Amino acid sequence: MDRYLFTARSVTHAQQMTRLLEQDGIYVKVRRVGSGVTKDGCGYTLEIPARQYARAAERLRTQENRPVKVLFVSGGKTREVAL
Amino acid sequence: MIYLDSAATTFQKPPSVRTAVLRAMRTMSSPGRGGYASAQAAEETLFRCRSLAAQLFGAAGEEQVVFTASATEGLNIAIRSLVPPRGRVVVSGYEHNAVTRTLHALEAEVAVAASPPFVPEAAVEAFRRALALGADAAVCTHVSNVFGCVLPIEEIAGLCRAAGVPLIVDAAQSAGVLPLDLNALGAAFIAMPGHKGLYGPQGTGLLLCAHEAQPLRCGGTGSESLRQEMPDFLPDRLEAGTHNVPGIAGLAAGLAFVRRITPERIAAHERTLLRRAAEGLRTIPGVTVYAPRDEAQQAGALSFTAAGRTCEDVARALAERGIAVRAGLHCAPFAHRTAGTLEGGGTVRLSVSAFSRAQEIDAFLTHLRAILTR
Repeated sequence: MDRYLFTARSVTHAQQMTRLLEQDGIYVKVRRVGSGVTKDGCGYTLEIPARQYARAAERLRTQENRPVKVLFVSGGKTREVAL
Repeated sequence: MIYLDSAATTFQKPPSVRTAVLRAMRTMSSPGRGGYASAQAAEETLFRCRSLAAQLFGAAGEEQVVFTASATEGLNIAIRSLVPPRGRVVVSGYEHNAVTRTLHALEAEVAVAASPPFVPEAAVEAFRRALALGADAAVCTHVSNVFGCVLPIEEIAGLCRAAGVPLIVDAAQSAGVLPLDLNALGAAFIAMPGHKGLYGPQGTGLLLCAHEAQPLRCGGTGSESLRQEMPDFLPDRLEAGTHNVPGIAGLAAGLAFVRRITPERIAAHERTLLRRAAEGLRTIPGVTVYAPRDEAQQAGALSFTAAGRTCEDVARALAERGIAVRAGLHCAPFAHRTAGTLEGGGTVRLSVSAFSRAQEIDAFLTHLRAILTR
């Protein structure tokens, strides 16, 4: 399934993004990820189904709490995309 | 026991605090260290506590809310973030050793903006004069832990903003009782304990950050683990090591209690009790009471002395009758120097909380009268 990963600088940042998305009816969980995603070691992401990406991106684009970076995962491959 | 030492710790807690602590011990592990249920439950608890605090104290968001072990730890972080060795700092005349010892350790040049208790306009003028010479930072307690006198923090914050001097507010005695808004004050930091007016357990505290901060300790944060520098973002930058999850769970319950009752109602209740105490104390021969005419100038605590008795003797006699008050310098020699009570060895302080009752004040007065007139 195609999906987007919104990476966070901390678990608190991830939780802030989660709350903002919940206000738009987008319910996602905070997931721990490793160096393969963050480059700096332990980190956190929100996993956004592709069908909800546009709304989620719109919600966070204008917020101070926007993700550190956004990764698109499809067919086992991952690439960074602009929010 | 009649407990009148809430300025040290609010001993009586809402039942929800105890429940939250026990639940955390049963169901929560290390936050930010795992993706499993008990770690996530801990993370949710921390976030809820940050959210409650951010809303109650005007922080822009949860990341500005840093957990500490006490107001003292928060003040240490704040001061060491702003004051270089031998820097110049303006402080009120009522600062606690949590502030003054930290400044002493930094060999700071301390300018004391001293003013008599319960004269807010004098405090403003003292800060105006002291700030005119410039400073690396200003530190002001919102409420004296000795006399309960309220410092005019809005006006002092305005002076600091105008002078371009970052302000650290010690809210040890005011958090949960008086209005406190990080954004509105424009303060750099506000430090507060969790175990006083927020009704959390001992070993908890909050530091609200609106300024770049330097960590007091380094270690694991569960984030950016490959890097050897501490993270450059809050709250992780200041929160190395495993959190006090049961304590923070209790603090969240305490914050929810304060929000539900409201600081305004708690303050009104406490002022009613302090007025009752002050009026009663004034009728006891030989007692000097430190209380203002305008009760809005006092919050939570009240000091008194008794002629011919040391404050320690009075407190001991009260303790023998099951009444808990605190005597001495209250870790605040600056406050006693300012008010002129240092030479006599300090004062006896009684302090109240949302759980204190008028009958307890009356019993205290009855016992004190008996002690002083026997």
